[in-house]
Amino acid sequence: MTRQRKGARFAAGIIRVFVPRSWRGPVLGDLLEEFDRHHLHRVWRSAWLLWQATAISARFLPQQLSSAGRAAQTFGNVLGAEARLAGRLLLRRPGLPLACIATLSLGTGATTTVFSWSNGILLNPYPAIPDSGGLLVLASRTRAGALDTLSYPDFDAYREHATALRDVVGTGAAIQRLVFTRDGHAPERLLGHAVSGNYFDALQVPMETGRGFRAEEDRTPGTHPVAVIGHGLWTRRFGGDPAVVGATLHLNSQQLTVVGVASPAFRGTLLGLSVDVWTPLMMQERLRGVALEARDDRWIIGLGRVREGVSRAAAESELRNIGRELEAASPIEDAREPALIPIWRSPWGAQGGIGPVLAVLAAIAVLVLLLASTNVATLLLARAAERRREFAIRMSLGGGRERLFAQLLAEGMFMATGAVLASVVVARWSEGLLTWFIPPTDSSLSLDVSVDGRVMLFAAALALPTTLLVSLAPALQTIRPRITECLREEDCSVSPRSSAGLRRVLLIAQVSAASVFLVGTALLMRSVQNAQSVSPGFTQDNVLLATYDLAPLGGPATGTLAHARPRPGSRASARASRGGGQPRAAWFHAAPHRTADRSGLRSAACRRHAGRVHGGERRVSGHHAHSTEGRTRFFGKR
Amino acid sequence: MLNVLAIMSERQLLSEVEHLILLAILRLGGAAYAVTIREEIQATTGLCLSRGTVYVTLSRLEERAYLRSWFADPTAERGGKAKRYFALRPAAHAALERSWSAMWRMWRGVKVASGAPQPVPAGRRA
Repeated sequence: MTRQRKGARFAAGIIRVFVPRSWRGPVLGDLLEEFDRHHLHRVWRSAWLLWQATAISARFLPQQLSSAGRAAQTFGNVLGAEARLAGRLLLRRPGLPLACIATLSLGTGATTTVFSWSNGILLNPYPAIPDSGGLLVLASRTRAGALDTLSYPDFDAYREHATALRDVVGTGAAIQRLVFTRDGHAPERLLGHAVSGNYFDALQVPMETGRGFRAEEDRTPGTHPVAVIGHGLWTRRFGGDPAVVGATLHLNSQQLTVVGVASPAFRGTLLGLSVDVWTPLMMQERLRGVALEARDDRWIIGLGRVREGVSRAAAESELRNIGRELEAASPIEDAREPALIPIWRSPWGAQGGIGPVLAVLAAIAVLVLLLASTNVATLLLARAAERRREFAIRMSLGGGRERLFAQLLAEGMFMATGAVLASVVVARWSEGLLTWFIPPTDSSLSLDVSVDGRVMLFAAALALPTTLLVSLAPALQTIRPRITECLREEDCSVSPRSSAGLRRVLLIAQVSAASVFLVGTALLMRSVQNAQSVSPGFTQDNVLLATYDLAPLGGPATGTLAHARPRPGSRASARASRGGGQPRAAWFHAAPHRTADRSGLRSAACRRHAGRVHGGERRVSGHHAHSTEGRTRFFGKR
Repeated sequence: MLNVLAIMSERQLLSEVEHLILLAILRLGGAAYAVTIREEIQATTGLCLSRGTVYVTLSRLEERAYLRSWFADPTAERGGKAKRYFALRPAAHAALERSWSAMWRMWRGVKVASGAPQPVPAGRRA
């Protein structure tokens, strides 16, 4: 081919794809013959050739499509017949296919499980809220770049003046522990969440009965003691009685009127926690002693959507301008810049801690899938060597390669269907296992992770091609048997060169994945050992830990002992007692001795966290458990 | 399949392009392949058919058993690709006769405004 005919390569490529086989040579030859007659620059001649090849291909396209349709129909009929044969063969020798399905299900099931967790936590965190994917978190950023919460005045200014945002609602950044008292019943700790007056309307939260808050119920501090309760609390404590709307709720020594019950599908917007009761932001001063006017008391985050046609960067820029005006009007020492982040990046809620865990789990699941796939492919390659004689006999009797391919495809489809079903079953079984991978917290996690249509689609999209690939690739080696040798009962198991190459690749992949696992496990065990050997600065033998939470009392402390949590297995069990009427400071001084006396401890010490700790700084002191509020901890020694 | 198409084609008249291509092959004798067929039509009638049309029509006529084809030896100036020559099968002669006869019957007694001479079938000139 001369230099002038370089365009012919591309033309030949086009013709090869779209023109019927019997016409490819003549068409290209005719074009090249005419090509030489044109006395044009070679660029134009190449363009002419490409244009002609494209035009001719376009004319052949309908004919090709209709013949492809006829071929597909014929192949469909063949596939149906071969599927019946494959089904009979699988029933006769089910051992290997079942082993393959079980092995593959480990990989695809693990991957589907991690996806179902990611789907429930990161992709569709609030299924009850319409268009929850568009929600953004409005927070602040320190000078060092760390995310932090907002104070009420800052949030109020952003909500009032930001034109780029819509449906802006305010919520407490952390869960609140509220003490619920009823006559004749022991006090109960509830998980509360402070929200703005437009929270239920703007987010379109579905209600079981009653209503959400009204805007006027969240304008002046302490004037509207209202509450919306969660479906769990409603059924657990009120027996699902619709008359609860209008009833009085005693929370933290305050009386609140129940105005509505949220739908069971809605658990709140603090991901991972199931909220029992929602209270207006304006009631927090009475319920929790929170200062609403202080610009440096940060405890709120906002949720909102960007208006149509406005970018997140533009919205953030507008918020920064508002922040600068606010700072000029009432300057504070450690001013923060506003930040607008997607829900999945928010550190407030389970996603903050679970995101990195999910990334690690996803990597492990993919490795498991790789290991399982190579394992199954090796098994099937060994089986393929056995089947060479079977295929040689079929081919010698006139069975075409397309029929053998259809049989292999049908067998692969059976296994793929089994793998998809097994993946969904594994994902369904392991819905609740996610909490195993999350460090213990003060509040029990309630993650709404379920197998929905998206998870099933993922399982199918993952398991079908994977199974077909690992089942077809080795089996296709058998479609090219040396018929004569196989029929003469010579050694049919000797693999062709391509088969040996495939086996080598599979072996390398298997050993590599296994090595990564071994090294990873060793590193993990070493890290656990290191973590266990970190010294907290005191002897840990026989030390028990109890937690007392006085914060729910709010206002002036009365000193009720609300909660005690010893270490598991401790004989000094948790005891709740009343300290009635003592000032908080005096209670702190007396509490260690009283705890030691009552629990039979040798000595007791008390540590109080300095100041109020809000979400975003949940790990408050090294080796201690998480805390979201001011909390008191005791160390007792037996 | 070929028989079914042949039976169906007995009831069909040729399209204008099919008619032209079959006549061009007849005129070219043993030298009829896509390039010469297209050039013959252009030289005789002034009509410039696209290459794609010629190929697709040839393919269709071959499927209907009107044509038979064979490959010549590959040549260097054609990039090592062979020419695909065509010749008419007896069915094509019958189809041409049938189509022309139908046209002639339709033309009989008709005078178009331009005053063009009325066509006469080749077999009836004498």
